[in-house]
Amino acid sequence: MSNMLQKRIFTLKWLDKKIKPLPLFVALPDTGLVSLLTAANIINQYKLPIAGYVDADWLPPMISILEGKPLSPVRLYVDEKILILISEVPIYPENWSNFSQVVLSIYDELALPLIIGATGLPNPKRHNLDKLRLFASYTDKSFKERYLKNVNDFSGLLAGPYASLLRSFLMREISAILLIVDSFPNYPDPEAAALVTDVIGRIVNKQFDVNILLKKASEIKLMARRLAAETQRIRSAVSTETGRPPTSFYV
Amino acid sequence: MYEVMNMGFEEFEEMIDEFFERFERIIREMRRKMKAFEEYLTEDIEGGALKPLTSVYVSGDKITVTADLPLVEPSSIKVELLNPKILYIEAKIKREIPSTYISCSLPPCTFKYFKARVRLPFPATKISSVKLYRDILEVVLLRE
Repeated sequence: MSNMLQKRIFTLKWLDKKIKPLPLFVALPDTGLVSLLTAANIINQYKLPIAGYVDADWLPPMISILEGKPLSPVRLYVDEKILILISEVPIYPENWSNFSQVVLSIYDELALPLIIGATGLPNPKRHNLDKLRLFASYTDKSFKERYLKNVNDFSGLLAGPYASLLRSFLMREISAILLIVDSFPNYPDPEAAALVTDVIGRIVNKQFDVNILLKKASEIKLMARRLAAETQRIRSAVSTETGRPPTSFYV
Repeated sequence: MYEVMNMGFEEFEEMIDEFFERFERIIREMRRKMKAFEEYLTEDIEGGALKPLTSVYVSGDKITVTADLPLVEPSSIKVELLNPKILYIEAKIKREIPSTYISCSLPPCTFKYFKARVRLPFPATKISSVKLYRDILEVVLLRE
């Protein structure tokens, strides 16, 4: 993508100019807020420093304020093993491709080895499930053996911001893993986030603590419920849903 | 600035009036949005009631309503079909939740209950089952 186009659709401001090329976990509000809760847990527990901000006209006119300090709602955090790009605001469907361009730009600038995403598989019977199913879609066959041994391969239609991201990775032949886990369709799901956190830990070779996600699940759900509802409202504008089986031309 | 200096008094007065009208419109819109936000999050602020997140699914002759009720006392849950198209849900929260926990833009208060009047897509005749599992209340109703 040309620099001119990059400048027109978003601004990327780096606070840390010496970032190593590490796997990038992309977290934005989607079904069950799975990736957002995963990212928030890692960022808060390990007190990760902010490495950069993203700003764009197409982002909702909102700003995060934490203990008086204004922060862009789309931020990049850095850890010794992983980078995390988090959006605290839902991205509208018409801007999913713009958001993909942000991710691609970070990928290019830092020469990242891998991009990881995670979303919920909306399951109306989720509350009755004792064991959540975890699926993955990945661009490189070797990832299955290396990181995803106990994870099912996903087959079906994927909708939402991660579908847009995965499509852009496919076009650019970028190494990517998307984790898809059973989750409440409309409610925040910290338990699903804990499962995703474990797999991310396996991928980046670091064990992240998931105790807070499991023990404080009710409190987390209470605090995150507005964002979950907003996300659902935006998602309902898209006419299709994650989970529909693929058209079986090949059967 | 030059334009303002060359204005007549009436023109200037009109400009000021227009400015205040626009300002009032913005304030009214902000108030409307704040009220909508409060209504969206809460059932009854003065009564200390939050509105739970709810979902409705229809399958055959059954309507299933789920509500996310984190931190509630299971024994306090009340479910009632107020009329064929409205299901009422109420539950006591185990501890008082300060409004800042939900949003800093809510007036200072505490929440002790979840309360919701859920509009059903089809008239229901009766409640068939009520279950609470992992904070999720599941109410199954039979369609008319």
